[in-house]
Amino acid sequence: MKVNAKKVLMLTKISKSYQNNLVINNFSLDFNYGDSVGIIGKNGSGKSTILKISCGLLKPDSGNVLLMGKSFDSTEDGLLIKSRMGVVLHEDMLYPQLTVFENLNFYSKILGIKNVNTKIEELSTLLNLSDYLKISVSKLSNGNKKRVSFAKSLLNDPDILFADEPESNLDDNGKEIVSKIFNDRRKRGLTNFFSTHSEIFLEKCSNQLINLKDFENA
Amino acid sequence: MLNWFKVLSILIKKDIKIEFQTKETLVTLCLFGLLIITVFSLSTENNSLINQNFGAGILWSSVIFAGSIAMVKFFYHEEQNKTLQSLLVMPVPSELILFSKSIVFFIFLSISEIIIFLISSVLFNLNIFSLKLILGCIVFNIGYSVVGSFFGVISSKSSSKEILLTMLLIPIITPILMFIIATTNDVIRSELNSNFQTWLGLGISFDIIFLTLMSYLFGKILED
Repeated sequence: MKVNAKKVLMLTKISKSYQNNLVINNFSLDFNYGDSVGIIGKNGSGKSTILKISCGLLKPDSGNVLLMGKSFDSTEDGLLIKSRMGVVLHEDMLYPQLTVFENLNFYSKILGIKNVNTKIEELSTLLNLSDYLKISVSKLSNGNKKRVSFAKSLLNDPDILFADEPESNLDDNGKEIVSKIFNDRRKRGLTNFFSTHSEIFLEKCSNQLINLKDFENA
Repeated sequence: MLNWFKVLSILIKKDIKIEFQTKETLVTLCLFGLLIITVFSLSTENNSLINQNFGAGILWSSVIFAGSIAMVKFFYHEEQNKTLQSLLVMPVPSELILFSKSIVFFIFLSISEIIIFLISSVLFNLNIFSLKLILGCIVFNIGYSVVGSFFGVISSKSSSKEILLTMLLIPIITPILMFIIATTNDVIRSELNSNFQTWLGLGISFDIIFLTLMSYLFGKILED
């Protein structure tokens, strides 16, 4: 869904505070389709908040968010944007009572994906989840939950993928798979926007770096 | 994008599937409801006068309290696993989340009422099954499920969710609670000259007003 906008994400003068604690002050950012943007900063610097504002989970106190040229303020545009983005957060955001397959099947149907079984098979092979499809999510390790969460976020082959510390909880093989996914997506002109504490991961997966330290006194 | 009815049916099927696996909401509803009416039945010693005068109150207090406890459980998992957040980044209109939760809770509440009423009719020796009461229950259950689902989502973030939900829910549902108790009293006492139509009008108006209001406010609250 490449709409008439060169910039895939535009954050303009965003501010956000929790109670009286100002976390983000007058923050602006934009990047193009096909960019892989990594955001770093110390704990509590607002990385997750910026990601959540960018994907529409949080509303900024002030400022504008434009994703693929559209705003979350309009319900119709909001739904259109959401159908073309993927989100991986700290929490796995899965139904622990359901199996891996049932979770992926549910989200596939919500996203209106055709050939659901083929898509799930493809993603489970990519993320080494084939053996776990019939297992309840509650019985998975944190690393495998993260993989399922990734599979869920990739179901619609999103134009933009938001990931909050995507490498956390993953073993070396998992990190390798995720960095490969990020790089493949970039090669295909798709966008990644992620936060991380790992400089190695940042180096492997991003072509643009945002250090929140640079914005502290802005 | 999918049409609303399809998304709604996917959301409902998911919640019913989860309930079939955990059986938490339905079991809580039936268990607490039956526990309350059993305690009351022991104290009234099958006195028909007490049963006729207080039967409706006993029945509906058991449904309301069991419903409040079950509702907390129903929403707790969504908050605990952040699955509500997950739905918010999906192309799902927020109203549909409220509608699906309300419909599923309506189904569970209706099933539990059938069981509670069946047992109550035996324990209290009451003849309560009538078309009037069925219609009343449908109207009540819609209002209770919509308002309960709305406050269930809000209170699920609170550490004292049980108290908060009950404090918010019961004052607001007072009009439909009055309606259903009046209807049940009419049925128990077999009163012919009742104000059923007036009460029914009030109940239906409550449902329409709160369904509209809650679906509008739900999206706004989730945004914040």
